[in-house]
Amino acid sequence: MEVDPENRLLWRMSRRRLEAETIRDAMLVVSGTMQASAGGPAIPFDVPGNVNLAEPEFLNEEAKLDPATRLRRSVYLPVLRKSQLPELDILNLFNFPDANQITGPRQATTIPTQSLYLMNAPFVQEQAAALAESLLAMKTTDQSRVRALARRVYGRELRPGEGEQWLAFVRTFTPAEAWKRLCHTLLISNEFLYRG
Amino acid sequence: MNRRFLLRQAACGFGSIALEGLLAAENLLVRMPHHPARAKRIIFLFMQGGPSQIDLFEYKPELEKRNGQPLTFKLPKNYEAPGIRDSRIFGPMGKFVRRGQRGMLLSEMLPHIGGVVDDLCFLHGMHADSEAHAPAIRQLHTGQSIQVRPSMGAWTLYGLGTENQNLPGFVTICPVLSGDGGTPQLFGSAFLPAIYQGTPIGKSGDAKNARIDYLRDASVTTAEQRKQLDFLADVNRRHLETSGAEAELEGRAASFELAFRMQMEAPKVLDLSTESAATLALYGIGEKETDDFGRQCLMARRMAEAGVRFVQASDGGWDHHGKLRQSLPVRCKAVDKPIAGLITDLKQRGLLDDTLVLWGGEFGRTPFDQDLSQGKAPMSERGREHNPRGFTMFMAGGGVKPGISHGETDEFGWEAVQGKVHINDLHATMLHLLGLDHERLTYRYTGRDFRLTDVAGRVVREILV
Repeated sequence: MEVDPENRLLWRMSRRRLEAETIRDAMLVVSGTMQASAGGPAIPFDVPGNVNLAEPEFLNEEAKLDPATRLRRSVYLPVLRKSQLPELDILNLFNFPDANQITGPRQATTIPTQSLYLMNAPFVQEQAAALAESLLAMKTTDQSRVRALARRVYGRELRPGEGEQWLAFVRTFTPAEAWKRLCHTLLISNEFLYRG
Repeated sequence: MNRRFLLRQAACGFGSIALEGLLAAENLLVRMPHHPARAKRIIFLFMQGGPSQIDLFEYKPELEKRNGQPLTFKLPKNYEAPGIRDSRIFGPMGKFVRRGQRGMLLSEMLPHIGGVVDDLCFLHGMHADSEAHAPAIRQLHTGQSIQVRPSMGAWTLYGLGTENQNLPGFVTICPVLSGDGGTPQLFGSAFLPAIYQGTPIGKSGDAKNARIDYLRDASVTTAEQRKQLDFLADVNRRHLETSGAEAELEGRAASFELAFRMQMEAPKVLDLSTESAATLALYGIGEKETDDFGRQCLMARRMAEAGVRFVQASDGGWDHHGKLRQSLPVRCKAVDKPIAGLITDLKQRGLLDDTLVLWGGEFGRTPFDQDLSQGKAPMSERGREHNPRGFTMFMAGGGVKPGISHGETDEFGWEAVQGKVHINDLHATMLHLLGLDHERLTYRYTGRDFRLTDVAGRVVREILV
């Protein structure tokens, strides 16, 4: 670290922010909400209005996703050339490339509107709530709940003192809100959003 | 030198250039302009569809005289448009009246704008390249009619940064997102770093409910969210201790603080309830016809005041192929008072000196009539076809001469003949007023340097103070 802090000699893996699709997929997986189906049309044909009946060879520009599609892996989501669906803002905000132009390496920007999304977007809140619910459904102690949480979100055991820090935070909220807030915070923390 | 060596060298070169670019570009801090700036910010009032210069801004006695007669000028050989086979000269609708100190002739459909005409700089010799909405709108916003290019707001931010780090630097209020060329690409950053893209606020036609997305989590109080962010900072600090310090991680942590401050500041800027009744009335807020665009204009002023670099407000529905006589007055009514209110208010507050206001659509309209009803509509219900050959835009403040008209079209209002200003020239002039040299504001992408004005553009020095 002292000899080569910028990792010019590649002595370690360089830190990378997860790409847009990976952030989304990772949130779905650790919350247990992902619909793991594969294949099929990107835009569901059975949602009223998605198929333009006058010209059935074209899809309507304002396509809608059904609840199941909304929870599929990002690779199965539609990419609309004209404008990406607002409900997939997470992709747009985290540098999913514009489908109209060639793109070399993707940018990995760090901008406040991303942080606003992570803090406030219903998508993130919903995943946090689902994760919290599954923890609370476990018939066990809070200590083993935070242990399970660390394994699921960070893929590792708790570090010394970490569990106490998390539980101290949980105790400052009402019980119903507390676990969702803890899960939410971990889902938007650097350790979750970066690799390496 | 072998191939592998060359590639390695080249790859190193690209890598370090990209990294440098990212480091320099990854913030919105204020940057020095190329030369002293006359304008610090821009407010662009976009009229989607192509307002008629013939009925509003350029009085052509010849058209009035020959109203209903066959065309006396030749259309280009390959000219094609629907509903113009039997077109005749179509005189201006409504009266023109003399306004302002120099007695400029202006349509009486714009009485309030007539009241501030001495502050405006009219460009009657505007011309653009495309007859169709989508490419013409793209050209007006990005300089280029076909490919996806960064918006002029994105170029402005790239060149200058922004003065208020707690607000987005480029905001577009109620943008037109679909139909007739509307797309988010009009405020996109294309190949420029994403940090320069415009932030859309509100939906077209619903300025009353305009807000920034994801600005609030209704399920927590501010104090609770503060507590959660403090906890997040703790969690991230612990992570830094085990992983080692890194600018990127610290930047992410800092961006949550910035987002939190934005949550506090942005709603205040968008909240018009603190404005006096007199100000609301000045913009026509509270009156049915003018409420929507009035709100957009007042929000634009509040953002300009708060240090936002580039603000766009949009009004749609200026595409009058038919029923011009019925529809044009409605659009004029909707924007006339709000625009005059904005100019007056900016001036009162001393903001007009360093704020450049730009008004206009993607093109103008033809001096002959168009009939899309296959001959069924009477002359009084006809409209005009698109016309990029000659049209009018106007500017105010920010270092342009007040109370002048620059350029003109021919005696029929068909083609710009004097003081011609192409869209690229318009952009070059706007950048010049902001202190930027349009030939030096470049970004390297796919192996060459790109500009807002690509390989064209001339600063219109004739209109500079």
